[in-house]
Amino acid sequence: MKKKSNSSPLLEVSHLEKSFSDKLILDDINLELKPGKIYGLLGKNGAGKSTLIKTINTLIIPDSGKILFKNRPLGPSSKAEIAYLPERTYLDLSTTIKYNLDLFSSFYKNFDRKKAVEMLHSLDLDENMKLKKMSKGMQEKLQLILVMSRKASLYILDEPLGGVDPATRDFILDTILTNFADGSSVLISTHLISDIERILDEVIFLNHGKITLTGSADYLREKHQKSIDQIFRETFKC
Amino acid sequence: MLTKLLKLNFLWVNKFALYFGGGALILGLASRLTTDLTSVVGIIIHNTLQSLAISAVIGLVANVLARSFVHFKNTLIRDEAYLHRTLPVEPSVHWNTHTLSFFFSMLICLVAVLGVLALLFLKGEVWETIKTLLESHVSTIVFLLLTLIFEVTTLGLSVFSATILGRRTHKHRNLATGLYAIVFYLGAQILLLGLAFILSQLFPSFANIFNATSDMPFLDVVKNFQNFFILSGIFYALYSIALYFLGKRSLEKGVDVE
Repeated sequence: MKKKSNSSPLLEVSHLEKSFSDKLILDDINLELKPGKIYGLLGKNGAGKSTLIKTINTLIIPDSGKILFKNRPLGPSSKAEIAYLPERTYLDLSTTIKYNLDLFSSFYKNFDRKKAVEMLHSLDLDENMKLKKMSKGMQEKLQLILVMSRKASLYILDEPLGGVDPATRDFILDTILTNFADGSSVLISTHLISDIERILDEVIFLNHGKITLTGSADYLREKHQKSIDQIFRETFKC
Repeated sequence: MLTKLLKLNFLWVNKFALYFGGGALILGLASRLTTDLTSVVGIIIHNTLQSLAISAVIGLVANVLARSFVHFKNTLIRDEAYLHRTLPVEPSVHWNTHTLSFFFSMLICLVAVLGVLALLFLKGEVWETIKTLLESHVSTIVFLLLTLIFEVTTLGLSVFSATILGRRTHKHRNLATGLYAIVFYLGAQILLLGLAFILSQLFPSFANIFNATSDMPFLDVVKNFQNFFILSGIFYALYSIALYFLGKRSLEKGVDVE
């Protein structure tokens, strides 16, 4: 899975905290993502995975802590280099596929329209089709195609496998693996470990807003003599 | 980036404006053409067309207002915020886009409203009065138009700023948004009336606005309101500027999505 890698961090999160209505959702999160790796952000529902991802994408404002992307605070330059797939449909359903291709082309210099169109054609999707005429699954695939057609430095995918059938899961994983740019990193959040384990280089376990375990997937498997899925099940046993 | 976003925003907000505005103008024109019909059926047709033209123009303003507020919340707080707020632009660009889009949309609405009203009512005695007003009270008319433009801008910026400030509170965010909007908008009206009252105590000529009666000639009423329109035009412009910076600063500080 590994692509080109060097030691300076792509993303640094330090002492990040966030609470909603007096409930601590992120508790002193410290994290470093390096280039050229696929990270799995693993945790049960409600562990704080989406909150952490939204905070990295400046959609949620932290109570305290710092996030740096390539040693610079988050802003338009980091947004230009981070390709983010949220866990929901974020496109205007009254628009067409072409409208969204135009939107991505005009705002992201690193958007490869040709690649996106090729992937859309492989799914037999017509560019003039309105999003509201598409099934939810197809809307999700379109979003994934738009995101993965960017030559980004960091891809952040929030629960890309949630609620989809096994065939779609394969499509999603293949799309991710074959399209992320050389030297870039991927952060995938999920609680469906078994489907994703094979592609992960590094894992980050998040529980009750705290990072409880991080490390190389190979190292953890060797150390515990178990799969990541088994380690996850033992760590988060109810 | 501002131009690109502004174009997207403006087109979304005004998606149905052409239907409402065009419909209102056609109905207004048809009503005008049927003015001289004297038969009962003719009068019914004329009055129906007039009512429909007025309904269409109200629909135009209501639709543009509603779509502006919905789009603001959708793209900065709700689902579409996940796309818009991760575009490589500063938060101030989003704020400026919505503000400018609202301002220009409302300007177009004002032109459409005035156009339809002119088609419906600009004739005979009304036309003579307007001509006299244009000859002797141009500045009053200019300040009346400025008052209208900036009063509507105040409404828009009250809702935009309230949406951001309400969302920044820790609890009861929807309630806070509603309260902020009421306080900002009603606050402007109360402040303006208070100012007018204070000025009327200081300057006797300003007190005329409180002395105008319904039996006074129209031009005298306009004359009495001249100073008030100057005050209100300037007041709403300054109030809009204050709300603009308040909302912009709050958005730059950051706001959580839903």
